[in-house]
Amino acid sequence: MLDRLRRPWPDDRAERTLGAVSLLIFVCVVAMVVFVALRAWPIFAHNGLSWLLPGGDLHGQITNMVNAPANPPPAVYHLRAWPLIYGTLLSGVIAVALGLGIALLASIFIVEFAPASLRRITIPTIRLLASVPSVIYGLIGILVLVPFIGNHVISASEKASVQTLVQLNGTGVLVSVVILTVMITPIMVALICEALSSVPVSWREGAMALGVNRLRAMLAVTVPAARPAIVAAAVLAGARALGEAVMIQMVSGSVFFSPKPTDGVVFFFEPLRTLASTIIDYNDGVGAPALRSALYAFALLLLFAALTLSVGGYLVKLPLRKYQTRG
Amino acid sequence: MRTWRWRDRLVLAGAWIAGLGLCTIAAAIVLYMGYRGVQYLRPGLIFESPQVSQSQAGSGGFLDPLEGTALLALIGITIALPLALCAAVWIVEYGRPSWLARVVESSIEVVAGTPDIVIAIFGLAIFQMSLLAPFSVRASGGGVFGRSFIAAGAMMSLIALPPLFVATRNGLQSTPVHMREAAFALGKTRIATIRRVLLPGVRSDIATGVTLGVSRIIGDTAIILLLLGGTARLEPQGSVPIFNLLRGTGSTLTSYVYGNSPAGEGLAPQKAYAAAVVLLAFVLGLNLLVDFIGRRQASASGLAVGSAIV
Amino acid sequence: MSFDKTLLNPKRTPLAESSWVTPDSGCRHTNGAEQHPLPNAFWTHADEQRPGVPSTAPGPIATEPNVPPVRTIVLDRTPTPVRPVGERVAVRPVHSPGGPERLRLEEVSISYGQKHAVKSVSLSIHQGEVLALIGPSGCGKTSLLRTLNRLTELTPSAARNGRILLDGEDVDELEDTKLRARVAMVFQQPNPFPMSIFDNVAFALREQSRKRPGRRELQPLVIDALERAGLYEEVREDLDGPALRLSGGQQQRLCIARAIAPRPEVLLMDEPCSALDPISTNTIEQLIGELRRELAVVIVTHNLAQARRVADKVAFMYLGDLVEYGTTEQVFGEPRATRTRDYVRGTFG
Repeated sequence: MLDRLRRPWPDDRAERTLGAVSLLIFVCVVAMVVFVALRAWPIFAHNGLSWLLPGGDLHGQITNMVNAPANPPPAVYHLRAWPLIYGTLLSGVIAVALGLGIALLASIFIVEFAPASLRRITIPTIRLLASVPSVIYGLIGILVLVPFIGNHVISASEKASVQTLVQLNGTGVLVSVVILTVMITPIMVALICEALSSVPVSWREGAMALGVNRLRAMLAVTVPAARPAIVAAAVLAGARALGEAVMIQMVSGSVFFSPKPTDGVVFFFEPLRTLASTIIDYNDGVGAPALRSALYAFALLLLFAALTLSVGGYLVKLPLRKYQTRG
Repeated sequence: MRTWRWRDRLVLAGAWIAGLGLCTIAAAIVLYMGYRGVQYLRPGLIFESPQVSQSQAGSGGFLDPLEGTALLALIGITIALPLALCAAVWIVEYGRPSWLARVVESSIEVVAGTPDIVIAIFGLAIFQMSLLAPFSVRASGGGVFGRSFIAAGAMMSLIALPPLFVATRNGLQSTPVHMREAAFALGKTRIATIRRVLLPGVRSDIATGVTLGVSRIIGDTAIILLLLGGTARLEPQGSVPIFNLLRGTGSTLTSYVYGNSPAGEGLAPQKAYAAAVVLLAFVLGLNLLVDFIGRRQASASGLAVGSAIV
Repeated sequence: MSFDKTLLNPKRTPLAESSWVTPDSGCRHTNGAEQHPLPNAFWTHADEQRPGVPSTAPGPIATEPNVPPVRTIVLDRTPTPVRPVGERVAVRPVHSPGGPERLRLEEVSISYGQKHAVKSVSLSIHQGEVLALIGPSGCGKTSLLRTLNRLTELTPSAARNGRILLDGEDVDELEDTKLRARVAMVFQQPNPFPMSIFDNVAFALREQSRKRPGRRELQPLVIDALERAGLYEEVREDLDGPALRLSGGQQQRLCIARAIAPRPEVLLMDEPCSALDPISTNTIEQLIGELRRELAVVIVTHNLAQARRVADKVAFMYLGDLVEYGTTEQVFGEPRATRTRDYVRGTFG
């Protein structure tokens, strides 16, 4: 049998083997969805879909799960995890919106207005930003930004105003969103720059020959032509922002609290928690069955969200195609 | 530009600020970490193992986390490389039936877009099955611990797979058709052509992919926190020589940084800074390596190389 | 304006005297001999029955035994006219006196780094006239055209000396966007934007006005521009359809509509028909004839026949120098310079 392996392989056997190995990846993905869904099932069995909604004290519910015995009664499975979903959406959406604007402006700068010497410096620098590990972002956040905000920016009266509910120590919405934006902007800059430079030069020339300045030619012709890539960049960055766990866990305050925009400026200093950071926080407690299913349910939700974003991004690109193809 | 409308001038100013601002932030991060590194990094730290001690600030280095990082990168790439090569070769050179090729490509895109925390918890789900108890430790209560180098390494391979696959696939797709045709005209089978002609030709693309994959592996924290057991030193389990190391727990630079920061035990931010500087240096070095490989290939073959920034 | 129809008769043109074109020769290339004494096997029966084909009697073999056989093709038949003669005549204008002067070039030189593309050219361009810039490749005509609306400034290494006056104002003093609003350009490859047809034509109108006009204000202007470009009838149902779905000729007419929508004073055309089929070319040439009433048109063309059909004035350039400038009859009929005569005869290209 080893002899058969050693002789040169015929093409069809090679093709089948390679195909089988490639299919392993697909099997892996299916296994991922199946395993996570199976482990998450008890939460859905006991709560239906209403575990996504607000209700009750989430901290109490999780503590119950942690302290529950080996075969927990059904009441322990009660879960209303809306604060986590709210925290994830809040940080993710603001970061993507901010980041998209900054990335678009930076890309226009790089492609159109930067002198060649500046462009040579800017592109590797922004790529550098994309490769910094998230734990280093978290470290700088927690050792530099958080004390700065906690001690110098938040006033005592603001701390007193929410004292009954939560401690304001600098961690929270502001630091999380700022660092998250810095993390996802370089990805978008790379994709948008590539798209802007691959728009045919003839359109830009035609626009300038009609009497518009370089910025208007860029904004009115080139950027709309690159819309599919901009959408793809936003989707990729959104998936990254949703799934960011470690950095958020370090700088978000780790309290089951929903920041309230109606609080005014204090809103930016209130702590939050996301689905991913909760998984990190409680990963030791995977032994407790109820908590385990809760964590897997969060993971399933994140997986589902990432998949939906990818598919949604692809679908949004489709109707824009009819303007892009050269007839 | 003097006579542009004020709205256009504002946008232009915004573009300049955005571009230069991002560069400033990058420079600030590197410079600040460099400053802290000069403050706290001693050569001794690199070569000493972590020690349990009351005064964390004084004793012990991060040799074990360094070893853990290297071991994990090795395991991850060893599993990911054959997978990625097989998949890339099959999709570019064979790819029949086409719906199957699309399935495989979509799977890799799904893996690329999955958050690393989900991959980590999936690893936990798999390796806590009794079937896979040999790959970690069986705890006293009968449950499988599920956390070991093998578990973390297996999941790290999923992290490294997309960059490797994309780099190899792009390399294969951009090999000119006449290379294949020449080999076929000489009577070689397809698989022999791939082995002897095409894969050696895309060596630098594979190198780029490996470097990107390694860079992603050593920068990842979530999988480590969930799947590596969190002991400061490497703790082998069992008695089989190498396998006990793989079954055992340990730490990496990333989990060491996390553990020493206020988010972990928080006792030694200085050591956290020192380890973070080393980590950053590795990642930047790998990035420079990718650029270097790309430039060398571009000058050698005269073709433009697109780097996969994932 | 009336056209001198006798000028349409090809027999009267001086080109008839050149050695390689004979009247009524159609598509057939001859070696000079009228009869084709070739072996029988090379002729088909169908050819034998067609009038005008030389006799198929197998005569003596020609003096050059290796000459490939000549076949007659369908186009050798007398062509049926597409339109009745006289209904829409070719835009072969008489030299019209022209209107006021729109553009004047004074000693304009253009260089890209060390290379001198255009050397000291002086020209005058009037409204109501079509000026054709002709010359072999690389002689600087495209550079000269592009400098008229300062598009050469997009190339970093380009430098220009000399003055260009638009209605008496130096174009360097004008802001480049304002200049390009008055001197419009149509390119060789049609380049409609990836938007709807309406948005394409309305683009310049929207960008050049102080406050963005609404669709209702733009609609009549867009329709007017499309009509002047001769495209409205074909697209009237679907003004919001994507512009890239149009055919090549339609796209080029859309680019012309887009260029003339803001009512520029001068229209520059850089080989506008070179990428198009003959029918589209004909349509656009008709268009140029109508457009020149309100604009000054400068067209760069490689196609000498097109220059004869379309232009009132012709400027012949060679390696950056303006060799000859005059009316079409003069440059093509009695060129003053030897080089001009050689070029229009086709001695070199």
